[in-house]
Amino acid sequence: MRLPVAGAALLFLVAPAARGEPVGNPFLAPPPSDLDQPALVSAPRYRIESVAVRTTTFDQDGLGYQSAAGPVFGPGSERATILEPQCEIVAALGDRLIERVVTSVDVVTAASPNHRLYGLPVGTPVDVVSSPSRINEAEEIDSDSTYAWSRTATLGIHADYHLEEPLESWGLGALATRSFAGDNTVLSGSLYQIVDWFDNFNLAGKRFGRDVRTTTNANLGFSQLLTPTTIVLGSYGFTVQAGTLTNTWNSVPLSDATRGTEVVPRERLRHAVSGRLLQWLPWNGALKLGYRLYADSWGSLAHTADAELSQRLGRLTLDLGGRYHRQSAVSFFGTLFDPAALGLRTADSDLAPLVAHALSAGARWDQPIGPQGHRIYFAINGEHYWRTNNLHVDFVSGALGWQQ
Amino acid sequence: MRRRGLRGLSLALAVALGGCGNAGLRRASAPTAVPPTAVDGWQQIPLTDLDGRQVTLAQVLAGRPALVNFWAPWCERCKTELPDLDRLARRLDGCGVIVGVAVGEDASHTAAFVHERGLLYPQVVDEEFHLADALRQSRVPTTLVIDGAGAIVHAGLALDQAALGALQAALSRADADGHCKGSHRAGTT
Amino acid sequence: MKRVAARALSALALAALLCGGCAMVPQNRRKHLGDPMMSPDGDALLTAGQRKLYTSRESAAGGDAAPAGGGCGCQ
Repeated sequence: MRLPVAGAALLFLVAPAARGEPVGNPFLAPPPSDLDQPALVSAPRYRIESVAVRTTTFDQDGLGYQSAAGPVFGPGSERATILEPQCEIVAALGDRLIERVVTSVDVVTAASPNHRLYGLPVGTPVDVVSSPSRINEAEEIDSDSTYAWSRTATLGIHADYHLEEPLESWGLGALATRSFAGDNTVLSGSLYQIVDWFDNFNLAGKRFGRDVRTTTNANLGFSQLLTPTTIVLGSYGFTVQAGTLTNTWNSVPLSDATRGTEVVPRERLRHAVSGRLLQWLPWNGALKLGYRLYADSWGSLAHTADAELSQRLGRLTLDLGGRYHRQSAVSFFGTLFDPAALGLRTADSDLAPLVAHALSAGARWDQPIGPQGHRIYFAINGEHYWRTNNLHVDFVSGALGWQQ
Repeated sequence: MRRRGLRGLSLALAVALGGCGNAGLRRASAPTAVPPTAVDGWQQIPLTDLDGRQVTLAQVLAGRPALVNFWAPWCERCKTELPDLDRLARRLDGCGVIVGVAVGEDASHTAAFVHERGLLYPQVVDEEFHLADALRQSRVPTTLVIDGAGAIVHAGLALDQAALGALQAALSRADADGHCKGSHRAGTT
Repeated sequence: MKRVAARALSALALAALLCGGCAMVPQNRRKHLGDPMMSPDGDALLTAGQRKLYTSRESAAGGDAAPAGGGCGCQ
């Protein structure tokens, strides 16, 4: 998981001491008062601001042509279940520094059932990647540190490490925010570099050492307070990926009833621009609207729109959300290929032309504890996600947290 | 096309930022409470006490030196100061007074918050920002020190040594003028 | 794609221009803006899980200040 700039700036707000602004909105980064004048009340040297644990189960089912777990010419099964426990700790050091650490584990069953031996007893090398094709565990740790450089500027560092059986990934990022006009306007910029290092297997199961891909991502964003109840945000992201941009054991169906290796370009340029509107509703609710336009050098163009409505009823907060995503296929997508043809080819259903919908709902209970304003919360969320090209995912998630 | 697009982006951002008041791209100056305008009768602006009854700051101050703290229940920095203000209030034995002014909140919500925290010093509610706007105070927390004559002698943000020093000085003047009986102290907490 | 990118940048710049219309919300009036319901990302762990779902099941990624691509074997 990557921490977006908005989330990183959120760190600046979570620490209660020396903050003149309410917690929760990353774009209202307040000036720590003691940066300008010595405050009587100084923050403790180190304190835990919040702890949260969340567990999510993803249940996926569908059919896709990159999966060999089915008829010779496909589509094959894309059945998978994922269990993902997560833990987040946010701590503040003095008035200027906030640190956030997130750990997560993904337990993935049927991670890549892309071989027609799918269905054999557990323990059989079902796939060229052996056990990861049946059950794969992935662990990740993310760390974000945000420093209040001045009354109007913050700097942040991000680092992460991701480990799963066939892959290791390292990420490093830097971000900065600057506020203007009494913190009514905030500009942000971030730069991330990710390196993935992973096993190179061919379709016959032979390992050819390791392969590498890099991802370099730059983002620019802004937020603007329009009224005491309205915020708008905008963001542009540019990404360059290079190297082996696929799993080497991915395959495509061939017209001679065999399967061939997926071949994708060794470079991918991605552009995404998004806008969001946050509106407070007078009956103790909030409406969020978002839109994103995406385009990449592989030929995919996508539009995504989402909306979320929140309503507070005493200590209970209810959320209802919807998402619509439409994308065109990458230029080399197909469902059957000529074995003699050389060139780019993919049957990955994620790169196909599709429309995806999602409906989500959630409930959260906040319970104050003690006279100092600490609180614990319980949350449960669910989402139904479905695509027009025969895939759906249901997830259910529960969380427990404590906040200062 | 790309060059024009980039130029247009730079121009748009420059205009956007420059258009947002004079702060623009200049380094923002240190935040201070705006020097209060000597608005006539600001102490007579109607406020509300925690029981919902109309009250004025003049009635609450009653001619005493005071430290007036503008705060809001949603303001994390303000909440950090509340226990210190409460302790300070207990040490002012009658001569001076600490007054909290909750801005932008209704009386019932403020009362529930204050009672939950066990705060005992006087609180008034400025739900529509009438007093805050009259004194040109747009931030929370804001700390004002008022002397026995009703003049604002200090304006700052967070409760700090400067505010305590100003309060100490105001109390000393009131004591010297014979307006205070007995001892008083407003030291650091 | 370059034309789309240029148009996207121009749209973002125009939005920034329009939004920079000197809207000044005093700090003491930001009660609702800082409410947790108004947080752009909401629950961070939940949002991260959703983002992982969408980026691994669709071609599009990014535009939300998060890296677009890489970082896992979910290609």
